[in-house]
Amino acid sequence: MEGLILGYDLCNDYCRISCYEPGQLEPVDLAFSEEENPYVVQTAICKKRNKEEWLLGEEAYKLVLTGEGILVDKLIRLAGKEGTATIENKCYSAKEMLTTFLSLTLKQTYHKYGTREIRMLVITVQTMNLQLLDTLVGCTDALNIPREKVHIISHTESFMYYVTSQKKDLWAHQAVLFDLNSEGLHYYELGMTRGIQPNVARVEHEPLEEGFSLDILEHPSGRKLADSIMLSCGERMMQKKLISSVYLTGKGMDRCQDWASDFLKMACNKRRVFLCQNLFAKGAVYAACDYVREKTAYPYVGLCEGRIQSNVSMEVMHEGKKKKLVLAAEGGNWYETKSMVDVILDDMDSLFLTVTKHGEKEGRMVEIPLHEFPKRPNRTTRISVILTFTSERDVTVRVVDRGFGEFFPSENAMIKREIHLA
Amino acid sequence: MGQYLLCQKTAQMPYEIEEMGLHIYSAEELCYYIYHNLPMIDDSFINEALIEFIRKDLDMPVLAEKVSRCFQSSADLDSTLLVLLRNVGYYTEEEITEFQEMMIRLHRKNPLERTKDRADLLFSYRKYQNAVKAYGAIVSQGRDLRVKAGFYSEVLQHMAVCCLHLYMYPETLDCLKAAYEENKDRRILQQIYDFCVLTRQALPKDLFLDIEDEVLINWQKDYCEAQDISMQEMEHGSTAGIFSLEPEEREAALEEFLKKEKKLYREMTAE
Repeated sequence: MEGLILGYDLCNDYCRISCYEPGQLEPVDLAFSEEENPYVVQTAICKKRNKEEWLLGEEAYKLVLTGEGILVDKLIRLAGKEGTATIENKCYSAKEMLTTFLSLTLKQTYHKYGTREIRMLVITVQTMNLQLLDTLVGCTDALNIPREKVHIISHTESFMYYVTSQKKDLWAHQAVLFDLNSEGLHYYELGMTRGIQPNVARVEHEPLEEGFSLDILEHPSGRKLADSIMLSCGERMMQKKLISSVYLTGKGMDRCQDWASDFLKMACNKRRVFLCQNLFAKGAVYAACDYVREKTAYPYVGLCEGRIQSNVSMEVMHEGKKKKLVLAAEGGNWYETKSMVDVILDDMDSLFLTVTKHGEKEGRMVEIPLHEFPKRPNRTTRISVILTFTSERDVTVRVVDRGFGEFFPSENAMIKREIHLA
Repeated sequence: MGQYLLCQKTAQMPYEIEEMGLHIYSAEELCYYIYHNLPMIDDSFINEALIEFIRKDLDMPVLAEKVSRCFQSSADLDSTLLVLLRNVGYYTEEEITEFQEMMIRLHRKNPLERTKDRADLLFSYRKYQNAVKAYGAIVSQGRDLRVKAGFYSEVLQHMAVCCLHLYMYPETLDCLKAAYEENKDRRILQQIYDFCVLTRQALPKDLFLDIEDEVLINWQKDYCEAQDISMQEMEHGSTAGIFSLEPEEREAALEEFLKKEKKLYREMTAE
């Protein structure tokens, strides 16, 4: 099957695109310019004055410098708040501007590969906020990219795909990542639990308080301070842990060999250290390749940001036998998890769901009373139980009365409950 | 402690049970219909259309195959119905055993009694036209002395109620009179009294000659009480509040109400 398999790292300040190319060992990064760091483009667009024309990257800067353009940046933050920008008395929504930005960046990809066909697109973002995800899906819809060919994952999940696509010895023990960018310093840690089936890959993410402005790297004293901060963080986060590999990414890690000598010396002690600038975009490509496969090449349960950490289930009777019906499985992408099941109430006036946190044997019972539903003879009330998630730990349960055909018509009663999965 | 029965697929296109004007959307509803409407089910119930509905619309090919095998091997209707009930799992084994006993009791009944059961079911589903036909068929046959006492009177009373719902007033009175002829029960006479008051007709003198004034006064009182209850129900019913709406809204609401009533009437009189 033809088509591009793309990983799109979409951050508030910069974005990066990688693409799967058959025969290449790693996903290939897309160059946006011929600058020093061509694989990165600022997440900003510039509108030409008095024209409905938008530009990005180098061309955009030139226009702004000459006063011929108006720049709008921080598009992700804007999209997360459903913000707008008023340019030359016209109001543009965050969705419109982000769509334009995506369109311009993808255009370059289409140009390089000579095709507009997308087989799979995985977008990776720092924080999976419902508003942002809805906006991004709206953008890809506006670009006529079929919904089933678009997935959105967190940076944490992207890191998980990246590491587990490397040689096994690199993640035989833990693998960690330091991401230093203008938004802060982030630490990620991947560990595998192999004693159970299926194996579990758990990735923790922690924004570190010690994050600093990248401007300090302009001065020698600033660089020394930055090195000591990184050393302190590294020692704190990695002490007493068996770590197979350390990854470094983010704009701040450009030329870290020049200023982070003490940190690197500590990190490289009995560990392999990799500087990988497009790590998240590449991880997204690995994820995209896996989505395309019929059967996953990653036979483990992934628990990380963006993935559900608990099972939500209910006990039902099917063909005369009691069965546990899983409505939401741990390890599933919360944004994409939507489940609906119809059951008939047999001597029940409440809905009981079981929430089982990963690693627990017994779950906790959640009861949703159905007293508001019309009273009918036993076994003549069919209900639809619909689950959607608003975050990885918050699930909305809707229970809809469907009646019982023409014998007992539905009155369309609906009960909605929000459940917090601890 | 109860349980939740996992539902089978719901059909997009329902299966129609024409005589009842019912549409069946799921295997559970099909079982419910069979269980609660046994007198309506005859040899024509299991047919290719039903089997195809089970196979395609309900997406239950295994069950369809089992039913088809029974159908093709000319297995008796009872066995086929039990295959259906057992395989869907909507009813428990105990309930299915009760159903088997229901089937046995039904077979033991006199054909006229079975016809009355059918007519009563049609009546309960507001298929008054078909119910009147079925009751009429019983009454028009020669007298069967094997039926229980009061059988024909009951049939005629039910027929009268059906005629009343169809606004067939002369037929209603005829049925009630005939019911009283069969069974000189004063409760039937009271029904004739109520009907005559409702339709503002004179009481048939020959029937009320020997009725005491006190009795008539009590019947009048009962009628007024029933009328009050009916008025109260109307105030909270589907027509409540229509006439207090603004003219434009009232017109739309009345149109909607008439539409529903016309549909109801068509269903009642459908054959």
